[in-house]
Amino acid sequence: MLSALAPDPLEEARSSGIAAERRWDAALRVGHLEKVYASGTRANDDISLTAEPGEVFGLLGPNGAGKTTLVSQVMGLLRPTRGSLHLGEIDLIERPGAARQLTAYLPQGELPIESLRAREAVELVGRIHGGDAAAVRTRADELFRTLEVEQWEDEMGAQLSGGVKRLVGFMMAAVMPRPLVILDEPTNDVDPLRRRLLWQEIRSLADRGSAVLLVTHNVLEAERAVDRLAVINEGRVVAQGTPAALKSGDRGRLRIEVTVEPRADLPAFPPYLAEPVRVGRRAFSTLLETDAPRALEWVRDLTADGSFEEFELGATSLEDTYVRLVGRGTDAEALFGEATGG
Amino acid sequence: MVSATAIGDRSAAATPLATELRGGPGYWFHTYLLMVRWELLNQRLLLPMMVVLQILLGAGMALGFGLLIDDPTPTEAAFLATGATVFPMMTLGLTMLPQVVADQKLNGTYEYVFGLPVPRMAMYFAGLTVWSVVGLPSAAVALGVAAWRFEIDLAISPFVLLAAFLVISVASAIGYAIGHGVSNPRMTNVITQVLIFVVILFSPVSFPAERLPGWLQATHEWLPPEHAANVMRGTLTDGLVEGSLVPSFAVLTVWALGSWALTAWVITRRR
Repeated sequence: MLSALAPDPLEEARSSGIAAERRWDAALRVGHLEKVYASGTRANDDISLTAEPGEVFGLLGPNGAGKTTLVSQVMGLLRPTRGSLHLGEIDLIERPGAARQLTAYLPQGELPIESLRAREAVELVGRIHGGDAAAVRTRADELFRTLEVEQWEDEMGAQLSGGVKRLVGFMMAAVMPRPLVILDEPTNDVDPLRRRLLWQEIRSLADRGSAVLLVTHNVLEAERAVDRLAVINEGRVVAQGTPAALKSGDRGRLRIEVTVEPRADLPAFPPYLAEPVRVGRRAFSTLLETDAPRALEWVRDLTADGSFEEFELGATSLEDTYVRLVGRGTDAEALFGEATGG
Repeated sequence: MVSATAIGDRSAAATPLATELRGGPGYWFHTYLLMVRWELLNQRLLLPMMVVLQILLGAGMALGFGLLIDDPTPTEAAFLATGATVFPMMTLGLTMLPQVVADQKLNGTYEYVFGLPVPRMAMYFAGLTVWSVVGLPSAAVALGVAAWRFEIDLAISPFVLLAAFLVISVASAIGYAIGHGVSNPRMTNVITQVLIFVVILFSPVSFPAERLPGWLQATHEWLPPEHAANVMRGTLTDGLVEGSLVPSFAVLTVWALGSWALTAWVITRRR
């Protein structure tokens, strides 16, 4: 185990050229990746992106956009039809075993921890990733403490609530920091308080030098959490950059959001408002800044007569950009997943 | 790129980014042991029940044979008793292991397990180890119950261990390859059920090969079940198997090597 007095690994990395090169060059580079399934479905089409070490890179897109296909290829579970995949200098297509050793992965699906206790699961994965028992225990202690889930550490997987199970899955991915960390919907079912702690921990993984690939539906959270992101739709990257750069396409526009009663119908929107998108009780749309006065008048009237419970008029968010990029015709549940449906 | 807080962060110093690549037999064996532990702990509620169930099945099979054939001759009885040890091993390999893989696909844990940095064959052997713990006691119990029920004299040779190892290896490698190779997990279950049905009813395991039609006899000379029964019978009794056991051991060895190669190919290939 390394004691707290051990030289700082980041300093060490800087002073030793080799270590620095190995650590800081471990970017995930996806080049013109194409995946056509035996059925003929083109799930990934010319996808190129780079997730740098120290960065949280978001992968956004509706259901069936090809996000999981991309991740499965990185993990060596699927073979790309064309294109390249590198982590640092390692060719991940040639060496799928290396990909799994250098990547910590939290898939979207269930975790195989039915009768494993939370702490056992976290420590076992740490050991499987090559950590020694004492170091893994120390790190597990730290994670259980910072995510405030210590009271569940002796519970078996089957007894855990969905949110806590998700946090255990995150800890399983974070227990041995790897050059690449892939998190597929890490915040699903997690309560708001621990969600904040979780985002902090995700950020600290990047601060340690990992490239974090974050797959999510949750645009509002992604806007705050990611450094850069790619929006994927129908197997292609439709936009890529920082959240601010992506939003620049919506410059000169405003966003209007209304809340209706559960199951209530949405009244017709005037033509100067973009076609609204409804997610659960929320519906939102965009408009030109010059249309703000009449939009305000319209929304006030409808709020006064009870059609809307409340409204908000403000700057556009990444959510509006996402909807513009991916298309308003797409089903809201596919766009935003089930997590934001309520 | 790297925030200022991380550099002074004590916890970051405790767990540096692990970038080394591991390999070789040490890595293989280490991850194998950890996967065995994972399987054992993760089935801790189910395992004791499974062991008891399998033992009851083994005993039931031996007693059930006694109902099928009333008052068998000593040779027939010896066939039944040794056959009763082969079935639990075949069932273990051909149905239990592929079902574990099919379940992983159905409940969505497959991605997780196969995303772990564990060599694929280490994962297979870990599963085989744990399920052998479940399946093997039942073979021993079946043999014991049958020996008592049919009053037969056993002459157990140390080669029985090699024989059992080969039988389990062939069955499990085939089963595992089916589990991984067939993409629809529900289909896996159908295939393995049919397979075990054929093995139990139409393979010369509990009865001499002469009872089968000529073409089926000839086919079985190249398939594992008859040889599996042969090596088990030959190492558990004395004088029941005519001629040398070497050809049967040889056929099973070839099958074991071939099915491991097939399994290795199926579980390391990417679609």
